[in-house]
Amino acid sequence: MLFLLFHALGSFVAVLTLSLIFCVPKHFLIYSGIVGSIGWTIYIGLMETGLNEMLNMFTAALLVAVISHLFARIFKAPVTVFLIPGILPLVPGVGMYRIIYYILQENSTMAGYYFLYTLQMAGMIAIAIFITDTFFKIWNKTHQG
Amino acid sequence: MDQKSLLPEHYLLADTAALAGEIMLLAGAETTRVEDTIRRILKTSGFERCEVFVVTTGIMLTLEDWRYGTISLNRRVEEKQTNLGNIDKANSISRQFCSGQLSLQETYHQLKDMKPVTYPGWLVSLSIILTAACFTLILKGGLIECLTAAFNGIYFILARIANRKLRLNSFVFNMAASFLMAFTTMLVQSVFYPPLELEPVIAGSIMALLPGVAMTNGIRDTLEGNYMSGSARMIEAFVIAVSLALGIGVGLSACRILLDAF
Repeated sequence: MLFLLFHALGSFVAVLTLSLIFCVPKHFLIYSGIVGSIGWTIYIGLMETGLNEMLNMFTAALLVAVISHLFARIFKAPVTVFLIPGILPLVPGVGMYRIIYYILQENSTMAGYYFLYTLQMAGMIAIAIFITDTFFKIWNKTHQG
Repeated sequence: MDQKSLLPEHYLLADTAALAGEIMLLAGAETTRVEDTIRRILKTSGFERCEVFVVTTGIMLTLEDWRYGTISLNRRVEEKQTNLGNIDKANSISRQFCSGQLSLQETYHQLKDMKPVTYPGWLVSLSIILTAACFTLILKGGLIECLTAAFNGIYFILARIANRKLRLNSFVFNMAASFLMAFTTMLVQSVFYPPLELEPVIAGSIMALLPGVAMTNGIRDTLEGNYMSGSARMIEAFVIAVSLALGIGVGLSACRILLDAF
């Protein structure tokens, strides 16, 4: 529990400062921090349970996308204001580093493995964003007028 | 035929729409959103046809009606800098215009005189350093790792300043920054503190440089059926990732070669 709290706080500060770099308006800073923090904490928490890694990434990204859409609706702001900082902790930077690391080690098997891994992770994020976008589009169409 | 001539308001409307689009595109909005905003503004004219075509580097729009004539505008957009606040501002101004809360004149002037959302330089610099340190922390880095990552943040700050001054391709600056980050991290590990973990430090340091904006926009544009902009963004994301990877790879091996030589 303490472990998750540590990750929640760490990612909250990280995403908050990241949103500041992206010039997110002052009154939304906290909320984009919350979105990013939820996504990362869920991801780490699920990783601890030892479930499928891709499924974990998908769940976390889906949650980030859904909360971003909800916040966008509540605060009447573009979705990207919350989605871009929120999704960034999940972008597989570590995977990318490992590709380079193993290429330098001349270990092409591991490099290839992490290349695929990174692509799969990015693909999971894409699918999660796609599903959420589609869902909210249908919602908009059915709830207008 | 009751042919009328175009009124100054029509020109102003087209100009306002282009201006709103320009601000949003410059700030890094998805093309679908930009097209949608411009179309909504143009629709208020009541013209027969309101066409808009936006790609990541430019805007084309046309107002067409047989009773009045045709207005066509073209805007080339360069020097993008991610600014989510500006997207929000331009979006809400055009929203107010479309719902009738603002007149055309007011909208135009508000967009023209819109102050970009900025934070003071020291706060942004502090944020860059904190971002690197915090990401290193949640990627299982210890105190020394965090301090090294915080130091690496300085390179990103310098790269941003250099980018603003020189206005070259951001590819160069990404590569330079990630090169220096990898080099420093390796140097710290081999000279000062051997148990240093490279992975959390480097992955945490490059976090703010990762192509999150390009990737997210690329996905959303592609899935909207806007393949031209979508694929352009995807390639942008890929190019940024490759530039970072190249920088890291060269940095690590350069440091290793240098240390072996001495």
